[in-house]
Amino acid sequence: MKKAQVQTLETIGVLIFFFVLLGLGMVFYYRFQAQSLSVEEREQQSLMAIRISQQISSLPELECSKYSGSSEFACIDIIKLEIAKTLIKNNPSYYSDIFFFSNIVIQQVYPSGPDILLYREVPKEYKNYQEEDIPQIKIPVPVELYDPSTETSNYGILRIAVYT
Amino acid sequence: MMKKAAIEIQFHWIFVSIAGIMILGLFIFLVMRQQITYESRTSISIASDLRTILVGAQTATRTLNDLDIPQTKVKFECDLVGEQKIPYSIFSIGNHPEEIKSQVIFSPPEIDTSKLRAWSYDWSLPYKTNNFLFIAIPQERIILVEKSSQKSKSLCQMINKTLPEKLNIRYVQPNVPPSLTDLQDQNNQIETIIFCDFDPAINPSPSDVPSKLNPKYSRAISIKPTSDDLEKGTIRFFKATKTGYIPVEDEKSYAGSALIFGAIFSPEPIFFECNKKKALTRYHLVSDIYWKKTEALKGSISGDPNQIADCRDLYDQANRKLKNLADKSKNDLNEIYLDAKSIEAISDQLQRKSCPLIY
Repeated sequence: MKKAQVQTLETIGVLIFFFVLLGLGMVFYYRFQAQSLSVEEREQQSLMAIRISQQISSLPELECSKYSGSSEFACIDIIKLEIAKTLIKNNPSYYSDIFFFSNIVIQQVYPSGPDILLYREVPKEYKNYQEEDIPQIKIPVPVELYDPSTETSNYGILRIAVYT
Repeated sequence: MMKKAAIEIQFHWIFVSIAGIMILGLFIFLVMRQQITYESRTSISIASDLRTILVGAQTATRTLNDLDIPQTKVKFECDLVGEQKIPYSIFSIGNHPEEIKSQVIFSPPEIDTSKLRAWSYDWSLPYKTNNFLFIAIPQERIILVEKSSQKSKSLCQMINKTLPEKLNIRYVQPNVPPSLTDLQDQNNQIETIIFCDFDPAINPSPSDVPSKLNPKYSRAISIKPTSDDLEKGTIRFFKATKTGYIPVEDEKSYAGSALIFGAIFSPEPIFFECNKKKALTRYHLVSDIYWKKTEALKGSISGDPNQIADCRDLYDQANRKLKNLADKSKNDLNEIYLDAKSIEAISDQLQRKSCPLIY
């Protein structure tokens, strides 16, 4: 009987050792998976940032008149911009489909002028954070800022920050 | 002693079997969970990539893009839900749906290919409010059928000239072979027959029926413009059979040539109506901006007092129309078309009088 008990204990010992090794293997595997998922997540967020920048650059709500002599792409009509600010604020569910969680600012660079905040929507978990503490992907896009009333253009940068 | 040993061995083997089954079960469970996770992950990744590709394709207007995507089944749906008939539009890969709230996409209901053709075309009435995206597959053919009238010829020619050359287009003219019935089946998955300015007869003559095409993949639409510039009219959808055409639902209205192409690339009337409603939502928002822009221009204009008076008068006229267009409750395309034409005429006058333009 004692010999049988020893043999059974031996088998149990082998099984425990096997499961410990298996457990260690799974821990390493899932850590590797988590790392690869986080890289993929970052890539997807970059893609989203690119998507938003493409959409804004050709947004009918902002783009310049085709008769203005300016390029239709990456040209912002500043009168429309001022109106679009309020329109976007009043239709958050519609425009959140286009802009997601992001901060979009138009900065007039030359001649220098005030920054115009077009859109800002912060994820819930970062509501009480300072802007610089929120993880984000930034994409600056040079744009022409066209004033149709004076038919003049200024140089600006469209600053898109997608919250991650 | 021998009996004891025999029993002992049997218990040992039972114990080993149970342990073995548990380990095997654990591995099978892990593999199945991994497979589900992998499929979900792949679907989400492809959906996100496809979304980015579609946004990119839509950005540049009037361009055709040949897209390579992973070989996967993509479903497109657009429906009007609830009492208020709110558009609900998604595309899904596997079990992962992605809602498309603002993009207007006309496409086959299901795509299972690695190659797509994405063509974008702006909806301008009279100013651009949206870039529609039309998705076609290589195994798709568009057949334009003309009858003996100037309007039919103009419409067919306009559609033929505007559609990208790379698309598979066949033009059937009256009394010029081949007729519709001569067209051979090319194993296409989609055959769209467009009747320019006439409805196909309920009992058509044999030469007016695509008898060699597979009815499972054939559908027909008739486009009947009611304006001289072909930009306004009605569209009717039909189901094409080997012997005739069965109308599907009532006539739908259109305004702006982009909606003609929307009907061509819509698998069924509800898809067309759903996307039309999405487009109208955006139309009202953009019109609101132009309405307020006109007010701003009126206030900021400077220069010769006579010129200012003329310009302001024109801005007032435009504003009355723009206010209608910005009204979300006004969705009659006939009225929208008429107001848009008025604004176009006003814009011409603004240009002649060197006033700052509205659009």
